[in-house]
Amino acid sequence: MKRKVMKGFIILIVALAAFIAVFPIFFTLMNSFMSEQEILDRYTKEITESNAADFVANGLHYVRFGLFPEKFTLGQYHKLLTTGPEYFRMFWNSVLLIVPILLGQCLIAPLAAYAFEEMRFKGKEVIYFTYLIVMLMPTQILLVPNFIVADWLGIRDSYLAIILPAMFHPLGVFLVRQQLKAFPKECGEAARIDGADEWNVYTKIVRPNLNSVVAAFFVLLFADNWNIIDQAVVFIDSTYRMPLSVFLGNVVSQAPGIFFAVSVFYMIPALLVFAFGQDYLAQGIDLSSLKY
Amino acid sequence: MKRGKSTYLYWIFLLPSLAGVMLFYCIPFLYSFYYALIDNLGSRNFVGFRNFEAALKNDLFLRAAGNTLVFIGIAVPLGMVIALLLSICLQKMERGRMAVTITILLPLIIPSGTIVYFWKVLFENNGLVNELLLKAGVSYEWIIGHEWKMGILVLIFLWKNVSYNVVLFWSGLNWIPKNYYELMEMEGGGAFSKFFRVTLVYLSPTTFVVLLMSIVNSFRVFKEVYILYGGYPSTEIYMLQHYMNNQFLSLSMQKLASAAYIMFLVIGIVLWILYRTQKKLTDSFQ
Repeated sequence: MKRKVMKGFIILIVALAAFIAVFPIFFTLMNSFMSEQEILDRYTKEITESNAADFVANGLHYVRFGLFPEKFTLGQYHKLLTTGPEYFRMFWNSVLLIVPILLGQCLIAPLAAYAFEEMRFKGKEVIYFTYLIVMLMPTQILLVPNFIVADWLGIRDSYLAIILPAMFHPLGVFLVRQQLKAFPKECGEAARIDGADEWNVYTKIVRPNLNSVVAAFFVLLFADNWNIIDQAVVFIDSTYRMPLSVFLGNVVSQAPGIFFAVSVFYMIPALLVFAFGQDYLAQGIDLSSLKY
Repeated sequence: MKRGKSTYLYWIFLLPSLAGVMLFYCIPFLYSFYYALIDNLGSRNFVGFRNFEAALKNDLFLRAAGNTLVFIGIAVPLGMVIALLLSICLQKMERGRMAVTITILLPLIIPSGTIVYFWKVLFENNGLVNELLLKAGVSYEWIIGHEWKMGILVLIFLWKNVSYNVVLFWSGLNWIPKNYYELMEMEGGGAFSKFFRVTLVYLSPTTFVVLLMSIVNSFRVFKEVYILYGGYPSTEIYMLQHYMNNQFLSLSMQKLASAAYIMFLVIGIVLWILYRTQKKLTDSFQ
């Protein structure tokens, strides 16, 4: 009996959490099939010529919350495709920012983590400690050194000012090294005895075992940088060079009628990456070998 | 041994990362201390610690620091408790665990901006929440008088970031050997003592990391505030991130650097205290 109550309680909590997690996303998706007019009627508080009729008809003061369109239409998407080159441009800006960051991190971080785990020299842990400190500092503090370097290199107001520091952010090294600590050293030793050189030990034995942590990290990194805002606001001056993640805030006020279609369009790559990496992420990130 | 030769290779492995971290983070951060000590970029006179003094007397900075503290104080514990509860529930599930976990992780990957209209529809003056309050009998004057912007931010932040903690807690929970629980059961311990004397104790290293990451991640709420309220929100949710951002835009390096060093120091001290406490806790159990 007690067991059953407990089980019911767990299912209730988990179901509630899942519902809360999905609902805003579902709302955005469903609302993207409303006509522009319906969006304006439902959600804008300003009375304009175009939605005055609805205000009179429905006595509107509060929003009319709705999941299902009165009339299902692809009008928003049609308008996005026909009149929205600026959105595509900004989407492309987001791509230009994220691709080098992802490539750089996935190449650099596992190598460095492996080196940290294998090397024996004085001061190694001091260097690693510095990495941890950088990792634990919020973006706004890190933006100060980033800003200064960008000035030195003359790359302010360019994507490089964002890309270069992001490629070296130490979070990846930390996560991969945690995983490596759980990896049995004997595997590498056995291969060395069989005559494998260090490069082969890394590429043939160690690196393949890191695939799952790199995949999990890749998803986190993508989530973070596809949603890039802080760095873009500081470094990029002109609106048309902003990533779409920043500009979505303006779309709500400037073109509320097609906001939902633009949003769904921007969600798609994130959802695809998630679909590919979900299993790795859902397995969790191994912090078990933490030592203090 | 062959190992001696191979250290060259390890250095090559490490070098790109090390050079990057030094060049883009450490060296310029140390250099920025110079900016914290001068009056402005034009005349560059040394003024000692006057910039720090000015920051600590600046109403806007203090306000921002206060708001940030309040936000962290509410959002971090809440986020950790919810995440721990969820992870434990997920672990106890027998069927459908994977599907639910994946669903719960979804908000993590959805860009903040794409959901902003939903939050507006819920929380704006003419939004759904206010309408429901009105229908529930709350007076109109009361609703207008209470904006709860900080509370709204905490909710939105939790929606997006709780799953990050779930990911971190998850493996920590699975790592606790099952026979510890069996032992506890043999000693006659109930669910209560299982949780407090096994789960929490053996989870404490993970919890510590989650706490550290939560503090760092709590600064991410800037994304939500920026998307919802722009770069200059009202004073009740004006945070350190906004203070910093506005200094960037006005290029006052001396204010930026001094504020960054103050934040660095405070966060450093907090982390150090947490680290010591955690160490003491773990030692006392072993």
